[in-house]
Amino acid sequence: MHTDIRLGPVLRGPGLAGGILLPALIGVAILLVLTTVWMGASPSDALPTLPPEDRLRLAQVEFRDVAGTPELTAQQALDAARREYDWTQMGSNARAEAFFHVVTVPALRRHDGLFAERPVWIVRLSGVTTPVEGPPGTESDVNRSLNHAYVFIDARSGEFLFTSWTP
Amino acid sequence: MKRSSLSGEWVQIGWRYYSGYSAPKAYCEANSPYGIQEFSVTFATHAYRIQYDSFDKYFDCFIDSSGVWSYSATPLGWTQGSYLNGQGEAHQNHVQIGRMAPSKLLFSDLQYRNASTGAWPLLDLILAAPPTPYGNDEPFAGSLKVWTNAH
Repeated sequence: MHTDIRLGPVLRGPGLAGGILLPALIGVAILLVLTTVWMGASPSDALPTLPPEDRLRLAQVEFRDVAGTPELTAQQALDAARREYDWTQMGSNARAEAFFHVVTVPALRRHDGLFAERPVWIVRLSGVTTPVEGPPGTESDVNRSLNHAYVFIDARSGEFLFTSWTP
Repeated sequence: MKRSSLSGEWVQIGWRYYSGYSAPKAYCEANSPYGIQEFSVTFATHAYRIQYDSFDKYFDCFIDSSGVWSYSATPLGWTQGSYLNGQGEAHQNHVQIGRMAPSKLLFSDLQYRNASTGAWPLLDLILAAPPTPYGNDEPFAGSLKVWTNAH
């Protein structure tokens, strides 16, 4: 089978116009591809996300693999978390870091609209300690402590949502 | 709340406050799998409630009338219990409730849900004598007053 590939008049010859236009068209094509890739990327791609081991500690939280955009900066989220917990008073090695995610809490979907899927900053407090305080006579009396706190801040409104503590 | 005084699994609700907290936080807590969540509360009187929902088999945690968290009853292994514990405590030796020692913390309107009738009668407490420096009292039905003399 013979296929006849016909080149347009501009691209056919090695003349002056073709010599300039061909590289230009290739350049435009590359630019278009790069622009498309850039526009398709999630705005949150460059934002820090929680490491897998931290996500495992938050078993009741569902991390949604969708793009989201925070209206608060990480620093504003840290400021919001610090209005709830002054971690500098909670341990000499206490520190805080902010991570961005879109999350939902499946167990709470039953409460109408209580916790809809939303973008959040999760401020992780490390080097802090509070005790487990269950009823007497249970295993909670064993000297356990909670060393990680995850402070959930609404990434749009800055509202403090809740904190999960884990061992 | 536990199934019995001997069972190991429990759920509970209340408030707690530690150094570094801007204000006391309400909390919901369960131990299988272990989880504790804290929420904002205002400086006011609040009703804290844990209630089993037989429709979807979750223990629902309420602050006033708002459901704030839920724990699946399946891993806990029970849906109704006979052992409720009203408790106010300070974890360190040199901690007190309030600014004067002894300062007493009062829980009022302690109620439990009768699984047969769905009614919420007042809890008739059986007080256990706490070790020094703690004290407790039941000033009237369905109430619990606790304190520490340490400061």
